[in-house]
Amino acid sequence: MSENRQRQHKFSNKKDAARVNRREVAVQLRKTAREDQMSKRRNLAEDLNTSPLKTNSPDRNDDERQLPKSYDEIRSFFASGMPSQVRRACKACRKKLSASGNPPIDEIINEGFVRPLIQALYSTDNATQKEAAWALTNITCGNERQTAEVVNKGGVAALTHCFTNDEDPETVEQAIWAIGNIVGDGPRMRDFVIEAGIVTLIMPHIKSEQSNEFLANLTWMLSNLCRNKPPPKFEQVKPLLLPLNALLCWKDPKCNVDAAWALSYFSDGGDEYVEAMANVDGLIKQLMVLASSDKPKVMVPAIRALGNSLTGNDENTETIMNSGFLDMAAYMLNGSMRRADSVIKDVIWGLSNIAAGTPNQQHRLASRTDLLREVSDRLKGAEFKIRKECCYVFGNLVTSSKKLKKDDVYNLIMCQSIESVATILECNDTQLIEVALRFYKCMLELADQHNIDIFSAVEESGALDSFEALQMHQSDEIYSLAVHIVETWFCNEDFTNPETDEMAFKEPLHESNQKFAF
Amino acid sequence: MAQLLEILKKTTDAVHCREAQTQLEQAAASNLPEFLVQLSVVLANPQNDELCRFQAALQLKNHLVSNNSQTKLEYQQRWLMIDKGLRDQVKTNSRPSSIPQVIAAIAGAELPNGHWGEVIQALATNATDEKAAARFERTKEASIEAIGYICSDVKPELLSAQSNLILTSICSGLLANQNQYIRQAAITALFNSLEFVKINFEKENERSHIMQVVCNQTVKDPNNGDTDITIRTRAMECLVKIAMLYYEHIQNYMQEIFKITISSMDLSQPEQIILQAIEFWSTICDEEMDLILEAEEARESGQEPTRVSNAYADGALPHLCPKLTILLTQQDDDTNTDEWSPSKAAGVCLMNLANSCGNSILPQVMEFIGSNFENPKWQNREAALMCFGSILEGPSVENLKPAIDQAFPIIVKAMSDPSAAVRDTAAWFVGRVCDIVPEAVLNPNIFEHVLQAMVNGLADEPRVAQNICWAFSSLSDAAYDHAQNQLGTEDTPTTYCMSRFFGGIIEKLLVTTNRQDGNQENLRNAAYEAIMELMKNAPDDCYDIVLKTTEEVMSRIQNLFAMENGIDSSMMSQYHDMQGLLCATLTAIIRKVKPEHMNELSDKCMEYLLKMLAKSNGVGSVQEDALGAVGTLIEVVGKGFEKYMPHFKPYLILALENHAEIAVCIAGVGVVTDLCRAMGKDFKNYFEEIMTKMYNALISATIDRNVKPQIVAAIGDAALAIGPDFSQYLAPVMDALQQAASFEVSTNDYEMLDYQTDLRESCLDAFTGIIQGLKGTDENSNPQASQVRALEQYLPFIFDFLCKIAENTEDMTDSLLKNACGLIGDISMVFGSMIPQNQLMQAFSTQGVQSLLQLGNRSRVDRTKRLAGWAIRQIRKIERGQA
Repeated sequence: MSENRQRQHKFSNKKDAARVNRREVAVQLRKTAREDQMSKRRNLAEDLNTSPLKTNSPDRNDDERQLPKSYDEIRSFFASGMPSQVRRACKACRKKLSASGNPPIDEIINEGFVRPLIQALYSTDNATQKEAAWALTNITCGNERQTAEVVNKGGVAALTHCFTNDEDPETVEQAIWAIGNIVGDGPRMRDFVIEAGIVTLIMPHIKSEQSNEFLANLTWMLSNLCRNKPPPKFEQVKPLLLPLNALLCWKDPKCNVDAAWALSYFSDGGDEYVEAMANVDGLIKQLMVLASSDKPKVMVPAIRALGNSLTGNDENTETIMNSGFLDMAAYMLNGSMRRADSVIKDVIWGLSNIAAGTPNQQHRLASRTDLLREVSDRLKGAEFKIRKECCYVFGNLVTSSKKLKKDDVYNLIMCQSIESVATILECNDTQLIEVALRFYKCMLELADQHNIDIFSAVEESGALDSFEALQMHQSDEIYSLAVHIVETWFCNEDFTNPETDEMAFKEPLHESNQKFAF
Repeated sequence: MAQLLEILKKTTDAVHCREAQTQLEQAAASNLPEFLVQLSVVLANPQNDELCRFQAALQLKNHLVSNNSQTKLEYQQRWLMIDKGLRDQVKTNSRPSSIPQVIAAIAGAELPNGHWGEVIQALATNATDEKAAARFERTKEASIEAIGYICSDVKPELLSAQSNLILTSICSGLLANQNQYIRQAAITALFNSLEFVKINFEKENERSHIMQVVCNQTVKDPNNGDTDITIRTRAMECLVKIAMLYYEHIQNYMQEIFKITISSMDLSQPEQIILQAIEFWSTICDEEMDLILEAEEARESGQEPTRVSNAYADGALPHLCPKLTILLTQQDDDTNTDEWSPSKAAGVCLMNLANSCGNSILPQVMEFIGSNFENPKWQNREAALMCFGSILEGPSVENLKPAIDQAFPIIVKAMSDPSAAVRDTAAWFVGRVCDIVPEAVLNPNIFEHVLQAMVNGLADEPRVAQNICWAFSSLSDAAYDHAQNQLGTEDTPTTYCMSRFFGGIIEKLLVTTNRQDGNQENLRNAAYEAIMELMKNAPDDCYDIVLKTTEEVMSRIQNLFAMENGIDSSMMSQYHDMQGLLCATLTAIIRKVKPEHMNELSDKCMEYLLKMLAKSNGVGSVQEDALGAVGTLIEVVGKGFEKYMPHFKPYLILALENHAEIAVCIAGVGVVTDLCRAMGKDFKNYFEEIMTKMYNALISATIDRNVKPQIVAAIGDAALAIGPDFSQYLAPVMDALQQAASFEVSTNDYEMLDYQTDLRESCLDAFTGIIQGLKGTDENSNPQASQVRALEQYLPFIFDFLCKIAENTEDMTDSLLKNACGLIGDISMVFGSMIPQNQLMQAFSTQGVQSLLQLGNRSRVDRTKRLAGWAIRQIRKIERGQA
């Protein structure tokens, strides 16, 4: 029994933990001392307590000593109604909520400060508005219940009111941030904010004069507007497409990333959504550029968006293909650069959707021998999730149509799909085995049709052994497919290899113990 | 030969054994290869006396391996130096005789160096050749046993290529028709091989076969009657290890494993079996908690988790809880032992279940808890408390608090239960509540009752009092936090809910530390820790008591010195414990004492601490705690510490040279940073000597690496302290720092990744310290003549380093980000007026630097946000030509 387990019993660990804790306290105290010393060198004191967004704000320096400290003091500052006092109360709340570690969100809520903070958003004083928006941003960073406190007390209307502040873009940015947090809390909150008219209200702020930080923040909020299932109503978010396209092309990479995420969510909505995307000039092309940009952060969402778009109707698929999806895929799968498994998986998933497309689309894919070879190689040796997608590429290509041309069938044979799909027959994913079996069934039919001999290839790949074994499978579908294939194409053969022992290590011959039903 | 046999025989008789041992040692020393060959010859001849052969094998093994890893490595190298012909002779002689440990010992030396690859094949042949086995049954058993030893000894990657052979041998040994010794050897070998049969585990048919074999061994054999209990236990251990290594592959077998483990938790089962069944579920909880965390992390960074929890624990809860609660009640009357038991394991398992299943455990256990609180049998009362205390961490506070509130009067009563075991667990329960749900204790309706019961408990048996002490530690922390939250500041509160009782509690705790039986159950330690926590968390209105405690601690230290000569060696470790504890208590107090009071105290404090260091007898923990106290003292007295330096420096140097005890070395480095901050420019007098010692530790290849980040950061402190004069040391220091900054982990080893982060954070600290130090504080000096120009040539490296940090977003921590933003700001602040604008702006506009600043600007931590904002403004100044 491990010693660690025994140390979990009662307080056996406390003594050692106490020493470890003493050491950590010493380290922390020294770090703080080091930081304090450095703050002096850096003349940071003068710049304390400016908002995080701030770059050049004429911070009205409230003297620290004038700020209320205890909750009771804050309450009386709010209650006084005096603009300067309210500003200080907002600032005091914000400072408490900005504490590192465990900010006292619940305390601020329980003390009843959410309502006055929301009221402060209607103040005409920029600093007050900003401090309040900042404090509310930090509250909406909390859990769902805490965010709901802000929404239920009219926070959304008040925050969008801040959008009308045309003097201080930082206040607007802070409000956008808070809205982004709220929208990110799930479909209910999202739709609530959309109903409040956020899409129309935000439009005037999406302009190139804004700072990169501002636009990045805004884009992130937009991505949350598109996020989560069920998707937002199409008509309501459709107007976001043009600005998102602009942000996708904007010079700031952060904006590109969040815009790509927004579109990846958007494209997950259905045919209508994808079609609208495809109709925006240059949008798909730009996604293609970002997908092959070799910057992982933006690649992932861009490819996801393209992959989603391929799941729609044939026309959408056609548009995406015509924008160069196959070339992009070839570039991504090219072995010269190591890419993340999730990226590869999404690319191949896209190919599998094309493989299920119109005969012409299938032909276009089947004539890309470079792609077929990459897919075949990965089917043999990659993460299972990727192998699965690869299997679907071949499965879809041959099963959904009998119209593959002879050249295409040759291409499939040449890329060793027969050998690589055979490896799938040994997995334990029933659905996938079925796909693989259908692949063989259709390949054998196509081979008959075009008069090509693939029997020995099938046999040598080990697939035949698997067919034999799969006749014992408990799934009726698999059982009958396997029987059908063997009986139709392999019955007259004289099998010289009756052994079904495929285990690499030998199973002992006499196992007399009881069998377990796993 | 005959002579060797004679000597070997003598080793087995008590009278001559020492003499024989000496002779054997002489033989080994005069010609080791010859000696080993001779031994193997004795071993190989079945005609020889069985005992002599055993002794020969033992001798052989002892010259090949050792329990000490360093010695073992040396032995292995020594073996490989022996002529190949002679080595082969030993190997051939050892094989038929099949002495498993000898074979494993030789393999342990040969395999890592690419020799003797055929050994597994040879053993596998022996193990699976049924004809050979029929001739001599021991061959099969010994071969499998040898495979098992090799598996546990040799690195997995060297064996995975032969996993098929190994598994074939093992499985053949686990057949029902094999005798129990063979099966014992085989199941042990399987246990040892699980790490490197990954390839086999990934194939479903092979995995199913292994699982079947393992499961078969866990149950009573229908043919042979009882399966050997050792075999069953080992097989259960295999299941535990499989759950840990191959969680994602066990789905198809869970139903069967579930049946096996649940039926194994029956009281009719042997203890070892019950323990392993419980351990299986604790392990599942460990895995699932990790997976839940992983999934959360993935989601936060917008990715799909690669592996997910299948929530087996959740599904099994309704079946596990009744079994576990029954096991909880199974205790003998004399229970206060350290021995691990099903009842303890059940408590731990409930804790893990609660942690991984959260609220859903409550309906499964509350009924048991409620109905047993006042059961006439003490075992049941104890079990109810144990169960309740164990699950506190999992469910949400909202769900727990009503139950705790309702139970508290009963708990308080339980603290004076006639059974010590019940009082013990009740006290532990209170401690757990203070730790996890402190608001339940701070509830004004019960607070005083609980406090009274706790104070009474301090006089109880050590096991009870110890728990109370830990409860006081947590409670004082919670009460202090509560007071701060009420105020909404991090300042010291003027008062808190324990103030009225503070003096009384400290007094009782001081009495507790002096109890005669204080060395039992860690009681003394726990009591001192509680005092430290109370000191640390003392509000303003308890300050007088802090001062009073200072006097008490000082006089205790004096008494301790007076006692020293009268202590016999058996008490020595208690004496050292006392030294360490008093130093640590002193540290907690010094941190609290106001400077004006410290002035009168510091001479005496330092006198005692120096004496403590002098009398530490080389005990690391004492030195560590004493150095900790000195560091705190330095912080309080500042420049005034200079007068103690002549006396203190030798001890500091000793600590920095103590590479063997890393905690001491780290404590020394900590004191160096305190000295730098306190002395400023005056640190120059000690700089070279101290720096040399730290540099030696930094470049040492054998020292525990955890000291290195501390040293790197301390270099920054030293540079900052001595200012522009640092430039003369710049070249060698930057050389070492560049090496440290270039350190990169290649594996996914989390511990190493943490280390890498620490090291990088410290490098940033060091660069910052050096830049700010070289710049100096003289605002009127000519910037073009500044010493800081010497650093210019290193700026490209520093920028590359920043970009490397920026790229690695996965391991980004807030403090790393904070330091990076700070350094960027420092560079712009210091070099803004020195380096051509376009050159600097180019360096600042790289994607790496920009993304660090943006990330910092978005940090939720105020300090980081502020630094990033500051850095952005510094850069903007340069951009506008205002620098």
